[in-house]
Amino acid sequence: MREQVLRRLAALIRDVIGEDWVAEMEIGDQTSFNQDLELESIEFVALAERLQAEFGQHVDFAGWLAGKELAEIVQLRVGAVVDYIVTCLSSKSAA
Amino acid sequence: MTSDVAIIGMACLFPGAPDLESFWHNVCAGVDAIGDVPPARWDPAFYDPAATAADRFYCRRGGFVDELARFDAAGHGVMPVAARGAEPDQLLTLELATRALADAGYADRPFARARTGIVIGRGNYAGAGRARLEQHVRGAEQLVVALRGLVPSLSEAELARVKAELQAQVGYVPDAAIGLVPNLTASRVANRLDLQGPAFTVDAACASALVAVDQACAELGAGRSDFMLAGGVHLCHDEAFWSVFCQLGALSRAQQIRPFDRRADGILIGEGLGVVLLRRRADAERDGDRIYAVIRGTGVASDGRDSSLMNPRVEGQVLALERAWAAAGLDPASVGLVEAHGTGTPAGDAAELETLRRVFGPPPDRDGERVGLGTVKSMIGHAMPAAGIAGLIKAALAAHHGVLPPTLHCEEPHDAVERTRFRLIARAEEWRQAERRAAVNAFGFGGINAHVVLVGVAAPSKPAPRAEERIFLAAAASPAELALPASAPDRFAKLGSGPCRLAVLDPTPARLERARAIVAKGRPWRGRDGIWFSPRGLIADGGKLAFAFPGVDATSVAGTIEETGAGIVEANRRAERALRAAGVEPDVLLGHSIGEWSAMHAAGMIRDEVLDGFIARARPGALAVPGVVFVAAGCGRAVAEEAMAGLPDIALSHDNCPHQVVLCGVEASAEAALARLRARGVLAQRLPFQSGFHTPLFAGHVAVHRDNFATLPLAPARVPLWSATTCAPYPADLDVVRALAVEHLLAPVRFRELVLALHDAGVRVFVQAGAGSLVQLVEDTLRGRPHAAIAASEPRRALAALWVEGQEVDFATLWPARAALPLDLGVPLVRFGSALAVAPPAPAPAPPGRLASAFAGTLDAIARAQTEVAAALAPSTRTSLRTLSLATMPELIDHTFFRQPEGWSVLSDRHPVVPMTALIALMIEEAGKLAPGRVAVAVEDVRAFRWLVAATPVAARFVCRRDGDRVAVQIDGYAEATVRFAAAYPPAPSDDTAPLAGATPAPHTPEQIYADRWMFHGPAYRGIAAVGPMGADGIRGTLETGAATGALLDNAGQLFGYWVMLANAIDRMAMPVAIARLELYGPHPAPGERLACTVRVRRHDERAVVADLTLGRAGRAWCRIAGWEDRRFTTDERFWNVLTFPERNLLAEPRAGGWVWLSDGYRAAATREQLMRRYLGERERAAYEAQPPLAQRAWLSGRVAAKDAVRDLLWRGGAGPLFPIEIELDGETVVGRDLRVALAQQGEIAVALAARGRPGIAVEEDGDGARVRAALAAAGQARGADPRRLRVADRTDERLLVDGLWVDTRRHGRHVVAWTVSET
Repeated sequence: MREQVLRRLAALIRDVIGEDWVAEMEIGDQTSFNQDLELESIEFVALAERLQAEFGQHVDFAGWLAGKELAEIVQLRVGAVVDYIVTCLSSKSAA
Repeated sequence: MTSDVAIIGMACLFPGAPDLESFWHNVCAGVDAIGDVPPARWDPAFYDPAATAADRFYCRRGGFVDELARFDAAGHGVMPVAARGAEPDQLLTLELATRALADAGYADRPFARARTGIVIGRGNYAGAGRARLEQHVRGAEQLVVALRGLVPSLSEAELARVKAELQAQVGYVPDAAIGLVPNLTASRVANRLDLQGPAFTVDAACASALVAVDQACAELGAGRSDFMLAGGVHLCHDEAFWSVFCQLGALSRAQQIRPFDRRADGILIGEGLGVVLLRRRADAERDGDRIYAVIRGTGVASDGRDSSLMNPRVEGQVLALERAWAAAGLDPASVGLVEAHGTGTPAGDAAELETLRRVFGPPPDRDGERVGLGTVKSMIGHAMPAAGIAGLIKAALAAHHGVLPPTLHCEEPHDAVERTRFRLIARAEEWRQAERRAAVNAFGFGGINAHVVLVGVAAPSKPAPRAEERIFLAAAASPAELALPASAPDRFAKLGSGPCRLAVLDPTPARLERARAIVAKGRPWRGRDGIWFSPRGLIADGGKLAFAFPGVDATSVAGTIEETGAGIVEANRRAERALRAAGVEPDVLLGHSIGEWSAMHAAGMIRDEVLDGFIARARPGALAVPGVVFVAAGCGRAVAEEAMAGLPDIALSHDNCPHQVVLCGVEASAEAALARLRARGVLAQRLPFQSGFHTPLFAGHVAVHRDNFATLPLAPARVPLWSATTCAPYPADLDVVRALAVEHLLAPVRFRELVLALHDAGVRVFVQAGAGSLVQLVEDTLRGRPHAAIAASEPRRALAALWVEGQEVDFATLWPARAALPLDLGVPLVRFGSALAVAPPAPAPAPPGRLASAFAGTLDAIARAQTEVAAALAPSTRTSLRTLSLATMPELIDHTFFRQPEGWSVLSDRHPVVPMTALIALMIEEAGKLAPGRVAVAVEDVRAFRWLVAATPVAARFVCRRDGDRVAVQIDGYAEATVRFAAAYPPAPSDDTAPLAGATPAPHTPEQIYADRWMFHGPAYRGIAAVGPMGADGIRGTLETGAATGALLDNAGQLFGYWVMLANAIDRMAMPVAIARLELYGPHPAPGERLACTVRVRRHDERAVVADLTLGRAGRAWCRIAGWEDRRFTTDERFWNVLTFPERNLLAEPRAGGWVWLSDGYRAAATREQLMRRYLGERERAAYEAQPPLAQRAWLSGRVAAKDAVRDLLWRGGAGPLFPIEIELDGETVVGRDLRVALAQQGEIAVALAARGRPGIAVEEDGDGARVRAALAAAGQARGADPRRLRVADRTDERLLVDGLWVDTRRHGRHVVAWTVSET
C-alpha cells in the first residue's frame, strides 16, 4: 500500500506544481518539499485540498501540518507525508 | 624587419564579447554573435528586403556592440557630460588602451611613457558624435528651410521652436566639439595616459588595423619608441554607411555571412575595436613580460594601377604576403593557421583563396595534413578598419593557447579551397605543432593589402570574475535556431536576437547542459535552477505587463500596521524605481490592500511628496481598531463564508487566491471562525495586527481618512490603474476616485477576481513591485493559464525572467558599482510626441536710447510698454531640460552631506545635493524665460520634495506655466514654486532691526561653525561672516555673498539651522523643506557684498521649525522671507556625534569585554537614510537595497554594530580616525584586515564583537536559563557548531566554560549578553 500512496502523492504534487521540471523529476521518500520541490505555502494548501479530496476526511494534512514547528515543515520530506497518510488509512480500516 | 616584436597586452570589444576573455571564449565555442540592427542605430523604417532605392536597405543583420559600449568616465577623468557628447570610438579606444596596459601588468607599474606611442586604424566615417552634430547643424536647418517653404503660415518664432525642439532631442552637447576631431582617437589616449611617442590614426580601409600594427612595429624596430599601442576601431552603423554597401550589393541578401562557403553572397557589417601592446621581444623577455605571441614579420602592398575598386587583385595580395614572410625569414610552408580576410563575397573569397594557393602552395600529398584556415568574420561580421585587429588577436590567442578555432557557416566549402593546402575548421581542435606559426590577412578597398606573421608563446592564468555578473542570455527566432555553446563566458553575455529566449544565471557547464535539454523540449521554463526559457515570450506574443504592488499581507512581520505599511510603501517605491531604471515600464498597475496607494503613485495620480505626507501621517494607531483581528485561512472564499455563517461582526477582508483568504472580525467571532476552519482541516492562523481595514468594521474610523482623501491633490492616471475594490479600471473623474479611495478602506480586497479580470484583459506578466507574496497569489489564481509572476525583490532573477518574456531590460543596472557610462552609438530619428504648441514670439528688446537725457524718461516709458507687450505675448508654457551635475555646478562638491576620508573617490558616497536655495535660483531663471524683460519680485509656495542628488548627472525637467505675471515652475519630482514678475522692483521696506528677546552673543565664531561641523558645507557655501547676537526668538548674522548658485539664501538658511541646533539637545538636524513666500526688492547682490540677516522663529515644535527671515543692506531690505520651514530629523547625541565626526565616534556603545551594544531605536525613514549613507559604501548600499524591505532595518543595525565593533577594536589598538565607510565587511570577515566580527541581534538590539580569531557573541532576553543559552550560542558561533550539541563544562559566576572556550556573560538591562573571551 505504501508504494501506491507514494505514487499517488507524487502525482498530486506534480499536479499542484504544474510545471515541466517536476514532471520529469523523480519524487521519492527523500524528496524535500522545501529544497527539491520549492513548494510555497499556498501550494501546501492546494496539496492539502487535493489530499483530502483523494483520501477523505481521515487525512487531515492541514491539521497535521498545523501541529508542526516551522523548522519541521522546512525539513519535511515526501516520505514523512506518505507515512502519515498510511497511518491514517490503516487506522481508518482498523476502525 | 630588424627585430621581433612581442605582443604583451591585449584588449578588445566585439559583438557578443565585452572583453578579451569573452572574445576568446566565443571564438573557441563558435558563438554566432550576429543579430538584428538595434532600432537606435538605424530606424526600422529603412528596412525593406525588396528595396533597390538608395535610402532603403535589403539587409538588417550584422554585428553590434551597443549594450557592451560602456566607458568608465570617472575613472578616466572625463566629465560624464563631455563623455556623452564625444565620439564613442575615442572613449572606447581610451578604455581599451588602458585595459591593454593593465593586461600587460602596466596599470600601476611604471614604464617609459615618454617613449610610448599609439597608432590606431580608423576610417573617416561618421560616428554617433559627428552624426549628432550634423543633425544639430544641418539637419535642423534643413527641417526649418523645408517647413518655411511648405507651410508659409508658420512664423519664424514657431520655426525657431521646432528647430530648438529637434536640436534638444538630437542631444548634441555644445561642449563636445573637441571630442569630434577624428585624430583624437589616438591623441586622447596619449593625452590621458601621458604618452609622448607618436600618436596618430591611419586609414587603409579594411587593412587599417594591420597597417597600424605594421607602423607600430616599424617604430619599435627603428628604436624610436619602446612601447607601442596599436589597434583598430570601427563603431559605425549609420545609414549612409549601410546605404553604400547596399548599393554596391556587398551585403548578403540571405542575411548570412558564410566566408569560403560556395553559398556565400556577401558580407554582414560588424563593428568593435581591439588594441594590443607591443614591445621589442628582447625588452619584453628581459623585463619578464607575459608574451602572447611574437610578430616575426609584417608586409604591406598596394595593387598598383591594376587595382579596381570592387575587384581585389591577387598580385597585390601575394606581394604583401611575400614581403611579410621574407621579413620573418620563415618558410610560408611552415604556417599552421591562417586567419583570412574572408569577407564572404564571392569575388573576395575567390581572390584570397588564389593568393593562399600561390603563396602557401598546392594541396599536400596523400599523407600530408591540411593546414587550418578560418576567419572570425563568420562570428562577428566584418568590422571594417577593426577587422584586422580582431583577426590578429584571435590568431595570437590561438597560437598562445594551442587551439585551432572554428569558423561558422562553411558547411559547403568553396571549390577553390580544395586547390589550396588549407582546410576550414568546423570545431575547435588542439593545435599540435611545437612552434605554432600563424598569419593574418587584411585587405582594403582600393587595393591596400596587409599581412602579419606571428609565432605563439605558451603560458598563464586569469583572475576570477564577479559572480553576480555571470548571466548568460541567448535569443533566436525559434528554439531550433537557438544554438548554445558548451560553456559560457565568466561574465555577462548576450547573444543573438529574437523572440525565443533563454537566460541562465551562473551558467556552469552542467546548467547549460540542462538548459540545452529545456530548449530541445521547446516548452517554457520559468526560473527553476536559475534557468528561464520561452520559445516565444508572453510579452513578445503581445501579452501585457502589470506592476502589482504588495500591501500588508499574511507574510508581513509583526509591528504596528502603520509602521509596516510605511515600510511597504517605501519598498514598493524603490522596487518600481529599480524596474523603471532597468527600462521596464508597466502597461497596467494594480495593488494589494495599501499597495494600491503605491499603484496610484506609480500611475502619477499622487505625487512623491503627497505619498510621503501620507506615510508621515500614518502614526501608530491611525489604522487600528481595538478588539478587531485578522485571520488568514488556507481556503477559498466559499469555505470562509461558511465558517463565518451566523457570526456577528466578521467579514471577508481579502480574497487573495483560491487557497488563501483573510477574515476580519471581533475577537470572539474570529476565534469561532478559526475553530470552525480548523475543524474542517483548513490551515488558519491569527495575524499580528489589530485593525478592521477592508471591512465595514472600519466604518467608525473612516472619517479622518475621508477628510484626507477629500483634500488629496490628485492628477489623472498616466498608466491604467485597476482597482481591487471594483475589479475594473479606476474611474476618470477624480472625485469618484476620492470616493473609491474611501470605499477601498471598507470593502474587501478582491485580488483573485482582479487578477482574473486582468488576465482576461490580456495581462500575462505580473511583476510584484516590492516584497511579499503576491507572486504566490497570482500563481495560485492563474494555475493552468499562460502567465508569469515575477518578484522584483530578487532583481537578477526578475530581469532575467522579464527579458525571456520579451521585455528589453538593462542588466547593467544590476551592478551599479561599476558605474560605467553607457554610450549611445546611434542617433535615432527624432519623433515628436505631440504637436508643438506654437505661440507668438517675444519682440526684440527696445532699442537703446540714443537721444539726450531729456528724452530718457519717455524712452523708458516706451521700453516698459514694449516689455509689457512682450510679456503678454510671450508663450504661456515652456519645458526645458537642464543637466545638473558636478560638471554644470562644480560648487556642489562643497554641498555634500557625508564627509568621507580625504581623497575618497566614490562621489556617491559623499552625496552631493543641490541646495533648495539653488533650486529656487534655477526656478527663477527658468521662469524668467517666460517673462522677458521683467524682474522676479516674489517666489511663493516653494516646496522641495526630494533631494536632487548630483553624484551622477541628473537631467532635471523644468516645466513652467505662465498665468499673467505669475509663472508656476516645477522641477519634475524635486521641487516647485510660483515666481511672480513685475516691470520693476517695488520700493524696499526698511531692514528688520528690532531687538531679539534675551539676546546674548553666539557661542561660536563663523570659523568654528564650519570647522566643528555644525554646518557640513565646504568653502563655496561658507558665507556666514559674522554670527550673533542670538535670542530665544531668533538670531542675527552677517552674510557674505558667494558666487555659488543659491549660496546667499543657503547661508541665511544656515544661520537659521544653527539657531535650531543650539535651541535643541536632540533632533538637532534640520533641513529646509518649504518657503511660503520670498519677496525681492532688488537685483541679486554681487559676490563679496555683505548683507545683514535676521531670523525670527515663528513656530517651533517637535517636527518642524518655521521662521521669517530678512536680508538687508544699508538699512533697507533686499529680501524678505516668510514661512521658511525646516523639518527636524531624529537625532540623539550619539547620532549627532556620528553624523558630525564619524571618524571619531561610535553609534554603538563600547562595553567592558570589548564588545559593542547598539539599541537601534531610530525609526523615521529620513533618519534611517542618514544612518545608511553614513555607514555604508556604494557596494554595501546595493546589498542593503537588495534586502527584503522588512529585513533592511535589522540588517543595517547589524552592519552598524559590526563596523563599530571593528573600529572600537582598532582604536583600542591605537588606530587613528576611521570612517565607517573604511571598514568593509564580507560576511563575518573584515575586508583587507585580519579580523572577524561576531554579531547577534534580538529585536532592536544588536551586539557585536571583533577579534583576530573567530569570536562569538549572543544576546538573549533575560529569563530562566538565558545566561546558559546565551553562552552556548556564543560558543557555538565561535566554534561553528550547533549550540544544542554543546554543554557547559565549568562555570564561575558570570564566566562559563563551553567546549574549551571561556565565555563571559553580563546582564544588560532586560537582556543577557554572552561573548567569548579571547584566548590570551
